[in-house]
Amino acid sequence: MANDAPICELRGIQKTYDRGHGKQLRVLEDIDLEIRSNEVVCLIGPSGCGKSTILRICAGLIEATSGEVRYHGQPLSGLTPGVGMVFQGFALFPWMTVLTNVETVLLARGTPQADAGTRARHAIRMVGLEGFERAYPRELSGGMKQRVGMARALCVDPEMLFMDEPFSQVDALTAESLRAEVLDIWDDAERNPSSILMVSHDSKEVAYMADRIVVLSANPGRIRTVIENRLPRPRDMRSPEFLRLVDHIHDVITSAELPDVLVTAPAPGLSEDVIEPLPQVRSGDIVALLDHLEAQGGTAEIFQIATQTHTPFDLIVRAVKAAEMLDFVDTPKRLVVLTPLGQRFAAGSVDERKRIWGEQAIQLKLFRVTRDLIELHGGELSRDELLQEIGARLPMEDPEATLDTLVVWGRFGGLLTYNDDGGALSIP
Amino acid sequence: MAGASSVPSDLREAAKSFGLGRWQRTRALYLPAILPFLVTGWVTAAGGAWNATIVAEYVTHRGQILTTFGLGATVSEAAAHADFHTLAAAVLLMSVLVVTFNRLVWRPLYHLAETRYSLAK
Repeated sequence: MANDAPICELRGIQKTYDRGHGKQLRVLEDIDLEIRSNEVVCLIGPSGCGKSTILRICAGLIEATSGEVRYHGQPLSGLTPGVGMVFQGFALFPWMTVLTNVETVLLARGTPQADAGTRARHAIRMVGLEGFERAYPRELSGGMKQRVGMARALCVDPEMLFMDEPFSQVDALTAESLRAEVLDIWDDAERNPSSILMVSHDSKEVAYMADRIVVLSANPGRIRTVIENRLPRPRDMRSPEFLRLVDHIHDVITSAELPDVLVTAPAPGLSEDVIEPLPQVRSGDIVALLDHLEAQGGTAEIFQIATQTHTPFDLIVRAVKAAEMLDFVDTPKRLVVLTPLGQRFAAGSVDERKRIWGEQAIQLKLFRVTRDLIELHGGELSRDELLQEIGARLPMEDPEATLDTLVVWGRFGGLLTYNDDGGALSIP
Repeated sequence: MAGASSVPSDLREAAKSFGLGRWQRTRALYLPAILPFLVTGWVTAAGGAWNATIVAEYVTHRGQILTTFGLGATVSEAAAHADFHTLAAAVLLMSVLVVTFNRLVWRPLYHLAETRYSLAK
Protein backbone atom coordinates (compact mmCIF):
# COMPACT_ATOMS: atom_id res chain seq x y z
CA MET A 1 0.00 0.00 0.00
CA ALA A 2 2.60 2.47 1.06
CA ASN A 3 5.42 3.34 -1.25
CA ASP A 4 8.90 3.88 0.01
CA ALA A 5 9.74 7.59 -0.02
CA PRO A 6 8.71 8.93 3.37
CA ILE A 7 6.78 12.19 3.59
CA CYS A 8 7.99 12.91 7.08
CA GLU A 9 10.75 11.31 9.12
CA LEU A 10 12.05 11.49 12.66
CA ARG A 11 15.70 10.55 13.10
CA GLY A 12 17.25 9.95 16.52
CA ILE A 13 14.83 12.24 18.31
CA GLN A 14 15.49 12.94 22.00
CA LYS A 15 13.38 15.17 24.18
CA THR A 16 14.25 16.23 27.70
CA TYR A 17 12.58 18.80 29.91
CA ASP A 18 14.48 20.87 32.42
CA ARG A 19 13.10 20.31 35.88
CA GLY A 20 15.27 22.97 37.46
CA HIS A 21 18.31 22.50 39.72
CA GLY A 22 20.12 21.03 36.73
CA LYS A 23 17.85 18.00 36.75
CA GLN A 24 16.39 16.75 33.54
CA LEU A 25 13.40 14.66 32.73
CA ARG A 26 13.90 12.43 29.72
CA VAL A 27 10.67 12.11 27.82
CA LEU A 28 11.74 10.59 24.52
CA GLU A 29 14.80 8.60 23.60
CA ASP A 30 16.06 7.50 20.19
CA ILE A 31 12.84 7.89 18.28
CA ASP A 32 13.08 6.92 14.61
CA LEU A 33 9.84 7.04 12.71
CA GLU A 34 8.74 7.55 9.17
CA ILE A 35 5.42 8.36 7.67
CA ARG A 36 5.17 7.18 4.10
CA SER A 37 2.53 8.13 1.60
CA ASN A 38 -0.85 6.41 1.65
CA GLU A 39 -0.52 4.87 5.06
CA VAL A 40 -2.09 5.17 8.48
CA VAL A 41 0.38 5.09 11.37
CA CYS A 42 -0.85 4.82 14.94
CA LEU A 43 1.13 5.49 18.12
CA ILE A 44 -0.02 3.56 21.16
CA GLY A 45 1.36 3.19 24.66
CA PRO A 46 0.70 3.99 28.32
CA SER A 47 0.27 7.60 29.37
CA GLY A 48 3.61 9.27 29.89
CA CYS A 49 5.24 7.41 27.01
CA GLY A 50 5.44 10.63 25.01
CA LYS A 51 3.18 9.60 22.14
CA SER A 52 1.55 13.03 21.94
CA THR A 53 4.98 14.63 22.15
CA ILE A 54 6.12 12.59 19.12
CA LEU A 55 3.08 13.80 17.18
CA ARG A 56 3.84 17.41 18.13
CA ILE A 57 7.49 17.07 17.17
CA CYS A 58 6.43 15.67 13.78
CA ALA A 59 4.08 18.62 13.35
CA GLY A 60 6.79 21.08 14.34
CA LEU A 61 4.81 22.34 17.34
CA ILE A 62 7.49 21.23 19.78
CA GLU A 63 11.20 21.30 19.15
CA ALA A 64 13.18 18.15 19.85
CA THR A 65 16.20 18.42 22.16
CA SER A 66 18.26 16.59 19.59
CA GLY A 67 17.67 14.65 16.41
CA GLU A 68 16.20 15.62 13.09
CA VAL A 69 12.78 16.10 11.57
CA ARG A 70 12.75 15.70 7.79
CA TYR A 71 10.01 16.57 5.37
CA HIS A 72 10.38 14.98 1.92
CA GLY A 73 14.01 14.36 2.74
CA GLN A 74 14.82 17.94 3.77
CA PRO A 75 15.74 18.77 7.37
CA LEU A 76 13.15 21.03 8.86
CA SER A 77 12.66 23.42 11.73
CA GLY A 78 9.44 25.14 12.64
CA LEU A 79 5.99 24.08 11.50
CA THR A 80 5.86 21.09 9.17
CA PRO A 81 4.05 22.03 5.96
CA GLY A 82 1.16 19.95 4.73
CA VAL A 83 -0.19 19.01 8.14
CA GLY A 84 -3.77 19.30 9.38
CA MET A 85 -4.16 18.73 13.12
CA VAL A 86 -7.12 17.30 15.02
CA PHE A 87 -7.00 17.73 18.79
CA GLN A 88 -8.23 15.58 21.63
CA GLY A 89 -10.19 18.40 23.23
CA PHE A 90 -11.40 19.75 19.84
CA ALA A 91 -9.72 23.16 20.42
CA LEU A 92 -12.44 25.07 18.56
CA PHE A 93 -12.77 28.81 19.03
CA PRO A 94 -15.98 29.08 21.09
CA TRP A 95 -16.77 32.62 19.88
CA MET A 96 -16.82 31.61 16.23
CA THR A 97 -19.45 29.76 14.26
CA VAL A 98 -18.64 26.44 12.66
CA LEU A 99 -18.07 28.22 9.36
CA THR A 100 -15.81 30.92 10.81
CA ASN A 101 -13.78 28.32 12.71
CA VAL A 102 -12.98 26.62 9.42
CA GLU A 103 -12.57 29.83 7.40
CA THR A 104 -10.07 31.27 9.88
CA VAL A 105 -7.66 28.46 9.09
CA LEU A 106 -8.01 29.03 5.34
CA LEU A 107 -7.49 32.78 5.69
CA ALA A 108 -4.36 32.09 7.74
CA ARG A 109 -3.00 30.21 4.72
CA GLY A 110 -3.63 33.19 2.48
CA THR A 111 -6.78 31.89 0.78
CA PRO A 112 -8.79 34.85 -0.59
CA GLN A 113 -11.96 35.58 1.39
CA ALA A 114 -14.31 34.51 -1.43
CA ASP A 115 -12.57 31.14 -1.93
CA ALA A 116 -12.31 30.55 1.80
CA GLY A 117 -16.09 30.52 2.18
CA THR A 118 -16.55 27.99 -0.63
CA ARG A 119 -13.79 25.70 0.55
CA ALA A 120 -14.91 25.88 4.17
CA ARG A 121 -18.46 24.93 3.18
CA HIS A 122 -17.10 22.05 1.13
CA ALA A 123 -15.06 20.73 4.08
CA ILE A 124 -18.07 21.07 6.38
CA ARG A 125 -20.17 19.08 3.90
CA MET A 126 -17.46 16.43 3.70
CA VAL A 127 -17.70 15.73 7.45
CA GLY A 128 -21.50 15.66 7.33
CA LEU A 129 -22.23 18.95 9.09
CA GLU A 130 -24.16 20.65 6.31
CA GLY A 131 -26.78 22.95 7.83
CA PHE A 132 -24.70 23.64 10.95
CA GLU A 133 -22.50 26.35 9.42
CA ARG A 134 -24.00 29.09 11.60
CA ALA A 135 -24.02 27.06 14.85
CA TYR A 136 -21.62 27.80 17.69
CA PRO A 137 -19.47 24.97 19.09
CA ARG A 138 -21.28 25.02 22.45
CA GLU A 139 -24.50 24.09 20.65
CA LEU A 140 -22.94 20.90 19.27
CA SER A 141 -22.39 17.45 20.76
CA GLY A 142 -18.87 16.09 21.28
CA GLY A 143 -19.04 14.06 18.09
CA MET A 144 -20.17 17.06 16.05
CA LYS A 145 -17.46 19.25 17.60
CA GLN A 146 -14.86 16.75 16.48
CA ARG A 147 -16.41 16.78 13.00
CA VAL A 148 -15.73 20.52 12.99
CA GLY A 149 -12.19 19.76 14.14
CA MET A 150 -11.83 17.38 11.20
CA ALA A 151 -13.33 19.87 8.73
CA ARG A 152 -10.86 22.48 9.99
CA ALA A 153 -7.94 20.08 9.50
CA LEU A 154 -9.13 18.84 6.10
CA CYS A 155 -10.06 22.21 4.57
CA VAL A 156 -6.41 23.08 3.88
CA ASP A 157 -6.09 19.90 1.80
CA PRO A 158 -3.30 18.53 4.02
CA GLU A 159 -0.87 15.92 2.83
CA MET A 160 -0.86 14.43 6.33
CA LEU A 161 -3.66 14.35 8.86
CA PHE A 162 -2.37 14.34 12.46
CA MET A 163 -4.82 13.28 15.14
CA ASP A 164 -4.16 13.29 18.88
CA GLU A 165 -6.55 10.83 20.56
CA PRO A 166 -9.32 12.35 18.46
CA PHE A 167 -12.15 10.11 19.57
CA SER A 168 -11.43 9.70 23.27
CA GLN A 169 -13.90 12.45 24.24
CA VAL A 170 -16.59 11.23 21.88
CA ASP A 171 -19.16 8.57 22.79
CA ALA A 172 -18.36 5.05 21.62
CA LEU A 173 -20.95 4.75 18.84
CA THR A 174 -20.10 8.12 17.32
CA ALA A 175 -16.39 7.28 17.56
CA GLU A 176 -17.01 4.12 15.57
CA SER A 177 -18.66 5.95 12.70
CA LEU A 178 -16.10 8.78 12.79
CA ARG A 179 -13.28 6.25 12.40
CA ALA A 180 -14.95 4.73 9.37
CA GLU A 181 -15.56 8.18 7.88
CA VAL A 182 -11.95 9.26 8.38
CA LEU A 183 -10.80 6.11 6.60
CA ASP A 184 -13.27 6.77 3.77
CA ILE A 185 -11.87 10.25 3.28
CA TRP A 186 -8.29 8.96 3.46
CA ASP A 187 -8.96 5.95 1.22
CA ASP A 188 -9.16 7.97 -1.99
CA ALA A 189 -5.52 7.62 -3.08
CA GLU A 190 -5.83 10.46 -5.60
CA ARG A 191 -6.74 12.99 -2.96
CA ASN A 192 -5.27 14.29 0.27
CA PRO A 193 -4.75 13.41 3.04
CA SER A 194 -2.25 10.93 1.76
CA SER A 195 -1.30 9.71 5.22
CA ILE A 196 -2.60 9.75 8.76
CA LEU A 197 -0.63 9.81 12.00
CA MET A 198 -2.81 9.12 15.00
CA VAL A 199 -2.19 8.85 18.72
CA SER A 200 -4.44 6.43 20.55
CA HIS A 201 -4.67 4.44 23.74
CA ASP A 202 -7.29 2.07 22.40
CA SER A 203 -5.93 -1.17 20.95
CA LYS A 204 -9.14 -1.90 19.02
CA GLU A 205 -9.00 1.54 17.47
CA VAL A 206 -5.43 1.12 16.26
CA ALA A 207 -6.12 -2.40 14.96
CA TYR A 208 -9.03 -0.95 12.99
CA MET A 209 -7.27 2.13 11.66
CA ALA A 210 -3.55 1.48 11.28
CA ASP A 211 -1.29 0.02 8.64
CA ARG A 212 1.54 0.27 11.12
CA ILE A 213 1.14 0.25 14.88
CA VAL A 214 4.01 1.83 16.79
CA VAL A 215 4.01 0.54 20.37
CA LEU A 216 5.80 2.78 22.87
CA SER A 217 6.98 2.18 26.40
CA ALA A 218 7.35 4.85 29.05
CA ASN A 219 10.06 6.48 31.19
CA PRO A 220 11.66 7.50 28.92
CA GLY A 221 9.45 7.05 25.87
CA ARG A 222 10.95 4.55 23.45
CA ILE A 223 9.65 2.66 20.47
CA ARG A 224 9.08 -0.84 21.69
CA THR A 225 7.88 -2.56 18.53
CA VAL A 226 6.26 -1.73 15.25
CA ILE A 227 3.43 -4.07 14.30
CA GLU A 228 2.53 -4.27 10.62
CA ASN A 229 -1.20 -4.61 10.20
CA ARG A 230 -2.05 -6.26 6.89
CA LEU A 231 -5.69 -7.07 7.58
CA PRO A 232 -7.76 -6.19 4.50
CA ARG A 233 -9.99 -3.11 4.66
CA PRO A 234 -12.72 -2.49 5.54
CA ARG A 235 -11.94 -4.38 8.73
CA ASP A 236 -14.47 -6.39 10.64
CA MET A 237 -13.97 -5.78 14.35
CA ARG A 238 -15.56 -9.13 15.18
CA SER A 239 -13.52 -11.32 12.85
CA PRO A 240 -11.18 -13.85 14.51
CA GLU A 241 -8.14 -12.34 12.73
CA PHE A 242 -9.02 -8.92 14.06
CA LEU A 243 -9.44 -10.17 17.62
CA ARG A 244 -6.15 -12.05 17.36
CA LEU A 245 -4.41 -8.85 16.36
CA VAL A 246 -5.96 -6.96 19.30
CA ASP A 247 -4.74 -9.74 21.59
CA HIS A 248 -1.28 -9.50 20.10
CA ILE A 249 -1.20 -5.71 20.65
CA HIS A 250 -2.26 -6.31 24.26
CA ASP A 251 0.57 -8.82 24.68
CA VAL A 252 3.15 -6.42 23.32
CA ILE A 253 1.97 -3.55 25.53
CA THR A 254 1.92 -5.74 28.62
CA SER A 255 5.34 -7.21 28.02
CA ALA A 256 6.63 -3.66 27.59
CA GLU A 257 5.10 -2.59 30.87
CA LEU A 258 5.49 -5.74 32.97
CA PRO A 259 8.50 -7.67 31.72
CA ASP A 260 8.38 -11.33 32.73
CA VAL A 261 11.68 -11.23 34.57
CA LEU A 262 12.40 -11.49 38.22
CA VAL A 263 12.67 -8.01 39.62
CA THR A 264 12.90 -9.05 43.24
CA ALA A 265 15.69 -11.15 44.74
CA PRO A 266 18.71 -9.85 42.84
CA ALA A 267 21.87 -11.93 42.98
CA PRO A 268 23.40 -11.42 46.44
CA GLY A 269 26.42 -9.18 46.57
CA LEU A 270 25.94 -8.06 43.00
CA SER A 271 23.58 -5.21 43.68
CA GLU A 272 23.97 -4.40 47.34
CA ASP A 273 23.53 -0.73 46.69
CA VAL A 274 20.82 -0.94 44.09
CA ILE A 275 17.54 0.45 45.34
CA GLU A 276 14.41 -0.40 43.49
CA PRO A 277 12.29 2.66 42.76
CA LEU A 278 8.73 2.52 44.07
CA PRO A 279 5.94 2.62 41.49
CA GLN A 280 4.06 5.87 42.18
CA VAL A 281 0.84 4.40 43.50
CA ARG A 282 -0.95 4.73 46.82
CA SER A 283 -1.35 1.69 49.05
CA GLY A 284 -5.14 2.11 48.78
CA ASP A 285 -5.00 1.50 45.03
CA ILE A 286 -2.93 -1.65 45.54
CA VAL A 287 -5.39 -2.91 48.15
CA ALA A 288 -8.27 -2.17 45.77
CA LEU A 289 -6.51 -4.20 43.07
CA LEU A 290 -6.02 -7.15 45.42
CA ASP A 291 -9.67 -6.97 46.52
CA HIS A 292 -10.79 -6.91 42.92
CA LEU A 293 -8.60 -9.92 42.10
CA GLU A 294 -10.04 -11.85 45.04
CA ALA A 295 -13.56 -11.07 43.89
CA GLN A 296 -12.61 -12.35 40.42
CA GLY A 297 -11.44 -15.67 41.87
CA GLY A 298 -7.78 -14.74 42.13
CA THR A 299 -7.02 -14.21 38.44
CA ALA A 300 -7.86 -11.49 35.96
CA GLU A 301 -6.63 -10.13 32.68
CA ILE A 302 -4.91 -6.78 33.12
CA PHE A 303 -6.92 -4.95 30.43
CA GLN A 304 -10.15 -6.27 31.89
CA ILE A 305 -9.20 -5.04 35.35
CA ALA A 306 -8.85 -1.55 33.93
CA THR A 307 -12.20 -1.76 32.15
CA GLN A 308 -14.11 -3.37 35.01
CA THR A 309 -12.81 -1.03 37.69
CA HIS A 310 -13.04 2.07 35.45
CA THR A 311 -9.44 2.84 36.31
CA PRO A 312 -6.89 4.28 33.88
CA PHE A 313 -4.70 1.57 32.45
CA ASP A 314 -1.43 3.14 33.57
CA LEU A 315 -2.63 3.32 37.18
CA ILE A 316 -3.48 -0.39 37.03
CA VAL A 317 -0.03 -1.10 35.60
CA ARG A 318 1.63 0.76 38.48
CA ALA A 319 -0.56 -1.00 41.06
CA VAL A 320 0.27 -4.38 39.52
CA LYS A 321 3.99 -3.57 39.48
CA ALA A 322 3.83 -2.56 43.12
CA ALA A 323 1.83 -5.64 44.10
CA GLU A 324 4.39 -7.77 42.29
CA MET A 325 7.26 -6.11 44.18
CA LEU A 326 5.46 -6.95 47.41
CA ASP A 327 4.94 -10.58 46.27
CA PHE A 328 1.17 -10.27 46.31
CA VAL A 329 0.69 -11.14 42.64
CA ASP A 330 2.37 -12.89 39.72
CA THR A 331 2.00 -11.70 36.16
CA PRO A 332 2.21 -14.49 33.61
CA LYS A 333 1.68 -12.64 30.30
CA ARG A 334 -1.45 -10.51 30.46
CA LEU A 335 -2.81 -12.26 33.53
CA VAL A 336 -2.55 -11.01 37.08
CA VAL A 337 -2.72 -13.86 39.60
CA LEU A 338 -2.90 -13.58 43.38
CA THR A 339 -0.07 -15.43 45.14
CA PRO A 340 -0.89 -17.46 48.28
CA LEU A 341 0.41 -14.46 50.25
CA GLY A 342 -1.81 -12.13 48.24
CA GLN A 343 -4.75 -14.38 48.98
CA ARG A 344 -3.99 -14.29 52.69
CA PHE A 345 -3.75 -10.52 52.51
CA ALA A 346 -7.05 -10.16 50.66
CA ALA A 347 -8.82 -12.47 53.10
CA GLY A 348 -7.28 -10.87 56.19
CA SER A 349 -8.69 -8.39 58.68
CA VAL A 350 -7.46 -4.81 58.70
CA ASP A 351 -4.82 -5.57 61.34
CA GLU A 352 -3.61 -8.66 59.50
CA ARG A 353 -3.38 -6.71 56.27
CA LYS A 354 -1.28 -4.03 57.94
CA ARG A 355 0.99 -6.67 59.45
CA ILE A 356 1.51 -8.53 56.15
CA TRP A 357 2.02 -5.24 54.31
CA GLY A 358 4.64 -4.15 56.82
CA GLU A 359 6.50 -7.47 56.59
CA GLN A 360 6.61 -7.25 52.79
CA ALA A 361 7.47 -3.57 52.52
CA ILE A 362 10.42 -3.88 54.91
CA GLN A 363 11.95 -6.34 52.43
CA LEU A 364 12.30 -3.46 50.03
CA LYS A 365 15.68 -1.82 50.25
CA LEU A 366 14.27 1.70 50.21
CA PHE A 367 12.38 1.12 53.47
CA ARG A 368 15.40 -0.46 55.16
CA VAL A 369 17.63 2.41 54.07
CA THR A 370 15.09 4.97 55.27
CA ARG A 371 14.79 3.33 58.68
CA ASP A 372 18.59 3.13 58.99
CA LEU A 373 18.81 6.82 58.14
CA ILE A 374 16.20 7.71 60.75
CA GLU A 375 18.16 5.81 63.39
CA LEU A 376 21.38 7.45 62.27
CA HIS A 377 19.75 10.84 62.78
CA GLY A 378 18.72 10.04 66.34
CA GLY A 379 15.20 8.87 65.61
CA GLU A 380 14.01 11.76 63.50
CA LEU A 381 14.72 12.57 59.87
CA SER A 382 13.53 15.76 58.22
CA ARG A 383 11.71 15.75 54.92
CA ASP A 384 14.48 17.72 53.21
CA GLU A 385 17.20 15.38 54.39
CA LEU A 386 15.29 12.39 53.09
CA LEU A 387 14.56 14.16 49.79
CA GLN A 388 18.30 14.68 49.36
CA GLU A 389 19.03 11.03 50.10
CA ILE A 390 16.38 9.87 47.65
CA GLY A 391 17.68 12.26 45.02
CA ALA A 392 21.21 10.89 45.46
CA ARG A 393 20.22 7.24 45.44
CA LEU A 394 17.46 7.28 42.84
CA PRO A 395 18.56 9.98 40.40
CA MET A 396 16.05 8.92 37.76
CA GLU A 397 13.04 9.29 40.04
CA ASP A 398 11.03 12.29 41.16
CA PRO A 399 12.12 12.58 44.83
CA GLU A 400 8.92 14.30 46.03
CA ALA A 401 6.68 11.65 44.50
CA THR A 402 8.90 8.85 45.82
CA LEU A 403 8.81 10.33 49.31
CA ASP A 404 5.02 10.63 49.23
CA THR A 405 4.68 7.01 48.15
CA LEU A 406 7.20 5.93 50.77
CA VAL A 407 5.24 7.72 53.50
CA VAL A 408 1.87 6.31 52.43
CA TRP A 409 3.16 2.73 52.19
CA GLY A 410 5.21 3.09 55.36
CA ARG A 411 2.29 4.44 57.37
CA PHE A 412 -0.02 1.69 56.16
CA GLY A 413 2.45 -1.01 57.20
CA GLY A 414 3.29 0.70 60.49
CA LEU A 415 6.94 1.11 59.42
CA LEU A 416 7.11 4.90 59.49
CA THR A 417 5.36 7.81 61.08
CA TYR A 418 5.32 11.15 59.40
CA ASN A 419 4.60 14.38 61.14
CA ASP A 420 2.70 16.47 58.57
CA ASP A 421 3.37 19.78 60.33
CA GLY A 422 7.12 19.62 60.77
CA GLY A 423 7.65 17.16 57.94
CA ALA A 424 9.75 14.78 60.00
CA LEU A 425 9.88 11.00 59.72
CA SER A 426 10.32 8.63 62.61
CA ILE A 427 9.88 4.97 63.46
CA PRO A 428 6.73 4.16 65.43
CA MET B 1 -3.40 39.82 33.99
CA ALA B 2 -5.69 36.92 34.85
CA GLY B 3 -7.23 37.59 31.45
CA ALA B 4 -4.02 37.15 29.51
CA SER B 5 -3.09 33.92 31.26
CA SER B 6 -6.59 32.52 30.79
CA VAL B 7 -6.17 31.85 27.08
CA PRO B 8 -6.43 28.05 27.01
CA SER B 9 -3.26 26.31 25.88
CA ASP B 10 -5.10 24.00 23.49
CA LEU B 11 -6.49 26.98 21.58
CA ARG B 12 -3.05 28.57 21.50
CA GLU B 13 -1.63 25.35 20.14
CA ALA B 14 -4.37 25.06 17.52
CA ALA B 15 -3.70 28.65 16.41
CA LYS B 16 -0.01 27.86 16.15
CA SER B 17 -0.51 24.60 14.26
CA PHE B 18 -2.73 26.26 11.65
CA GLY B 19 -0.17 29.00 11.16
CA LEU B 20 -2.23 31.97 12.36
CA GLY B 21 -0.09 35.08 12.19
CA ARG B 22 0.33 37.54 15.04
CA TRP B 23 -2.51 39.84 13.98
CA GLN B 24 -4.84 36.90 13.32
CA ARG B 25 -3.96 35.34 16.64
CA THR B 26 -4.77 38.59 18.42
CA ARG B 27 -8.08 38.99 16.64
CA ALA B 28 -9.20 35.38 16.63
CA LEU B 29 -7.84 34.28 19.99
CA TYR B 30 -6.43 36.78 22.46
CA LEU B 31 -8.99 39.60 22.23
CA PRO B 32 -12.05 37.33 22.41
CA ALA B 33 -10.48 35.27 25.19
CA ILE B 34 -9.84 38.28 27.39
CA LEU B 35 -13.12 40.06 26.56
CA PRO B 36 -14.91 38.86 29.74
CA PHE B 37 -12.06 40.31 31.79
CA LEU B 38 -12.06 43.53 29.77
CA VAL B 39 -15.79 43.99 30.34
CA THR B 40 -15.40 43.48 34.08
CA GLY B 41 -12.63 46.05 34.04
CA TRP B 42 -14.67 48.54 32.02
CA VAL B 43 -17.70 48.24 34.29
CA THR B 44 -15.60 48.79 37.40
CA ALA B 45 -13.82 51.72 35.79
CA ALA B 46 -17.09 53.28 34.56
CA GLY B 47 -18.56 53.18 38.09
CA GLY B 48 -15.44 54.84 39.44
CA ALA B 49 -15.55 57.45 36.67
CA TRP B 50 -19.03 58.69 37.65
CA ASN B 51 -17.75 59.14 41.18
CA ALA B 52 -14.69 60.92 39.91
CA THR B 53 -16.78 63.47 37.93
CA ILE B 54 -18.35 64.70 41.17
CA VAL B 55 -14.97 65.17 42.81
CA ALA B 56 -12.95 66.34 39.84
CA GLU B 57 -15.33 68.79 38.20
CA TYR B 58 -15.52 70.98 41.29
CA VAL B 59 -12.29 71.57 43.12
CA THR B 60 -11.77 73.91 46.07
CA HIS B 61 -8.15 74.97 46.27
CA ARG B 62 -6.89 77.66 48.76
CA GLY B 63 -10.29 79.26 48.87
CA GLN B 64 -10.52 79.33 45.09
CA ILE B 65 -13.17 77.25 43.36
CA LEU B 66 -12.18 75.56 40.11
CA THR B 67 -15.13 74.22 38.25
CA THR B 68 -16.10 72.96 34.80
CA PHE B 69 -19.44 72.64 33.13
CA GLY B 70 -20.88 69.21 33.89
CA LEU B 71 -23.19 67.05 35.89
CA GLY B 72 -20.50 66.29 38.49
CA ALA B 73 -19.88 70.02 39.03
CA THR B 74 -23.61 70.68 39.33
CA VAL B 75 -23.93 68.01 42.03
CA SER B 76 -20.93 69.32 43.98
CA GLU B 77 -21.98 72.95 43.59
CA ALA B 78 -25.55 72.28 44.68
CA ALA B 79 -24.29 70.34 47.68
CA ALA B 80 -21.88 73.15 48.63
CA HIS B 81 -24.64 75.79 48.47
CA ALA B 82 -27.27 73.56 50.08
CA ASP B 83 -29.41 73.96 46.94
CA PHE B 84 -31.43 70.79 47.50
CA HIS B 85 -33.75 71.15 44.50
CA THR B 86 -30.90 71.30 42.02
CA LEU B 87 -29.04 68.56 43.93
CA ALA B 88 -32.05 66.22 43.81
CA ALA B 89 -32.57 66.87 40.10
CA ALA B 90 -28.89 66.39 39.25
CA VAL B 91 -28.57 63.20 41.29
CA LEU B 92 -31.77 61.86 39.73
CA LEU B 93 -30.46 62.64 36.26
CA MET B 94 -27.17 60.98 37.05
CA SER B 95 -28.95 57.86 38.35
CA VAL B 96 -31.09 57.67 35.23
CA LEU B 97 -27.97 58.02 33.07
CA VAL B 98 -26.12 55.29 34.99
CA VAL B 99 -29.05 52.90 34.84
CA THR B 100 -29.67 53.55 31.14
CA PHE B 101 -26.02 53.05 30.38
CA ASN B 102 -26.02 49.81 32.35
CA ARG B 103 -29.06 48.52 30.51
CA LEU B 104 -28.01 49.51 27.03
CA VAL B 105 -24.27 48.96 27.13
CA TRP B 106 -22.91 46.99 30.04
CA ARG B 107 -25.57 44.39 30.48
CA PRO B 108 -25.61 43.23 26.83
CA LEU B 109 -21.83 43.23 26.82
CA TYR B 110 -21.75 41.23 30.03
CA HIS B 111 -24.25 38.78 28.62
CA LEU B 112 -22.17 38.36 25.48
CA ALA B 113 -19.03 37.88 27.55
CA GLU B 114 -20.71 35.29 29.71
CA THR B 115 -22.17 33.30 26.85
CA ARG B 116 -20.34 33.48 23.57
CA TYR B 117 -16.98 34.54 24.91
CA SER B 118 -17.02 32.33 27.96
CA LEU B 119 -14.30 29.70 27.93
CA ALA B 120 -16.20 27.37 30.25
CA LYS B 121 -16.95 24.25 28.28
